Amino acid sequence: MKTKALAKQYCHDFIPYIWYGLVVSVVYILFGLLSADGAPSIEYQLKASFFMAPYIITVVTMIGISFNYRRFKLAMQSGVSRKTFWKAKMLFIAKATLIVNVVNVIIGFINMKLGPSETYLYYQAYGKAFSNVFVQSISMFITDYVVLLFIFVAMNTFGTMTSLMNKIGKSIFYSIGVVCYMFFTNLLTQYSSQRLISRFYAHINGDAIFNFIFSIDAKVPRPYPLIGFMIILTIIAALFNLLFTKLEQVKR
Amino acid sequence: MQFDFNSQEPIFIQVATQLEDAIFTGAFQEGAQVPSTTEISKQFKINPATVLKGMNMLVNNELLEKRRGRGTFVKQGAQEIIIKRRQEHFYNDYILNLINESKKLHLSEDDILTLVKRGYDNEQDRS
Amino acid sequence: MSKIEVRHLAKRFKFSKQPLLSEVNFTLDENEIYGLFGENGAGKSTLMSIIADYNRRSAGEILFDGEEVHENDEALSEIYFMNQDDMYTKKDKVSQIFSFVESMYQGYDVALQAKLVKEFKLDVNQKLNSLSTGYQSIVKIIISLCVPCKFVLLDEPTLGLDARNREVFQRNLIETYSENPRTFVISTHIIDEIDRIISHVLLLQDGVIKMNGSIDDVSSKSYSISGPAEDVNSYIDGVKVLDEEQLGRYKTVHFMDQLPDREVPASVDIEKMKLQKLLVYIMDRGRL
Repeated sequence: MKTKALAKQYCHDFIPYIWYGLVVSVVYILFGLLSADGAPSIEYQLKASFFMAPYIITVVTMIGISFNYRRFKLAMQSGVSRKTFWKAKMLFIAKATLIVNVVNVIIGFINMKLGPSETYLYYQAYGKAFSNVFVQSISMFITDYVVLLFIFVAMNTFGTMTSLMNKIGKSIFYSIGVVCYMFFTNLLTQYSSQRLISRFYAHINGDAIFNFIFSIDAKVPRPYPLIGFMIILTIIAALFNLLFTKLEQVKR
Repeated sequence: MQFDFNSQEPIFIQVATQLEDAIFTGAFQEGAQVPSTTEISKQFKINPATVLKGMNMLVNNELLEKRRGRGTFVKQGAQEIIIKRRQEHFYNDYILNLINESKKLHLSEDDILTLVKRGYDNEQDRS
Repeated sequence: MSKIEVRHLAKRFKFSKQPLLSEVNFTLDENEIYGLFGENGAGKSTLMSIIADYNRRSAGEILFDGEEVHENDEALSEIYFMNQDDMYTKKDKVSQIFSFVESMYQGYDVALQAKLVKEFKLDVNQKLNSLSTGYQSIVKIIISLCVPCKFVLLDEPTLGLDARNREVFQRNLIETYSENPRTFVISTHIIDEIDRIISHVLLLQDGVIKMNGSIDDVSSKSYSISGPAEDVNSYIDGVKVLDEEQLGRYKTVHFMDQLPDREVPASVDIEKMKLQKLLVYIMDRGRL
């Protein structure tokens, strides 16, 4: 009972982020139209910026998902264990993913009406997966859902981890992140390290793995392996989430 | 009913004293029901257990009696008991103090007796 | 009968030499009202937050009916901790917060909540963060009096409340307690205000529970004795004195013990001491 009630409250607190996402998308589209100097037509500009809306909404809601500490406090005040809190959180993320996905799919359909369906990533990969439109739509919905679920669970796990740190810890953590990023990008520009990476990639047969996951070489590419792969990743992220959640404390 | 719980004594003793005073002055008549523990504790914001303890002191002193399921009542003859006990305490509480104080003030026994006599005369004049 | 047992509890913060709590032992029984006292920084809030499993402990155990409290849903749903933090969603309306809490606790007392809202004159259509500090506390007080938990821990509940609202709180605490007894633990610095309400005194000092007793025992054993110094000294010889003041030859001593078993000199005055005073003396000296 408490798990459901908590998840409901978290959803209630999360809804505004979908509005924020929509507002940011609209602003983005308007900017696209305004800066259209010398472009062929307004309609073209609209199409060109409209396909970004689902990605913008995903990014904005991702931020909303990642906040963890205040959800933790609410759970603690309501007399539940950290494990129950984690369950409530996972239930909430599953629900939130559904809501965001529905919004994104609706926008996706509008987008396809407006212009070429290739702008939609699913269609680029699995456009010919099913001939039946209905089955194709369901497959598209499930694939999007699973991918989004992984992104959200991973984001929340990240948020949970950083909420374990104090201000000093966080700044050290982010600094290390930036340094690592710079180090690797620097490394990648060097021929020797590129060779090393490509050798490693060949060694683990990277092409085959990726081709399998995205079923690229298949005659009729279908998203089953991708869905399975994403579910495994989601479970791993959720377990890490539980690990971090168990360590959480109410700060004083 | 106006109780005053401001002395330094433990609260349960204050509760007992206040109830006893109320019986002594006749605010609670013999045979009448006294307020319940809950009523007293709510009105004066005192822990019910403390009130109960104070009341039980009076029950043990034969001033109150509990009637099962009906509440607590002032026992017949309670006032008499209080008067008798206070008479016994009168010597300790007042006379000894009086003698103590009079010694500090260098008043002799005769002086005190004269003063007592004067007090009674004044009282008679007034009435 | 439910109870919470705290055994050998210790809390040490990283980077600090002294542990905040070194060896805390006590039991919270059902249907009692405890006053938890101690100086600023004695660790009252920390102790409560560890009992409610908000925070980690360094050592020891906390048992609810013999079961460890940590990560125990059943135990935690019987322990409500009102602390000084903002735990509820601040941008929600008070009415939304109330219905959330109601959805979390089966048996939440909606009728009492309505009564308290009226008595405190709380506007439930306001958002929590637009209320004054006092009223934000009132929201938390209302919830803590309405939740159906066997153990309710209140950390300075009346902080920031005006005199009227403090009285409303005290009256309703006693009322709900006499109608539906459960255990309250109240930490506060305004001891005079609650010394009639509590049934037990817990004093936390130097990382241990210095005093743990029923209020009647404690208050019937605390005395202030004054008179000429030599008379006072000879009368209380052998008694462990908490504090003493001397003005010329006139001396006052405060102690917590039985009265000595000898005749009281006529020049000596014996008075009982209020709990507030007693605790201040103990805290001052750091010993009993």
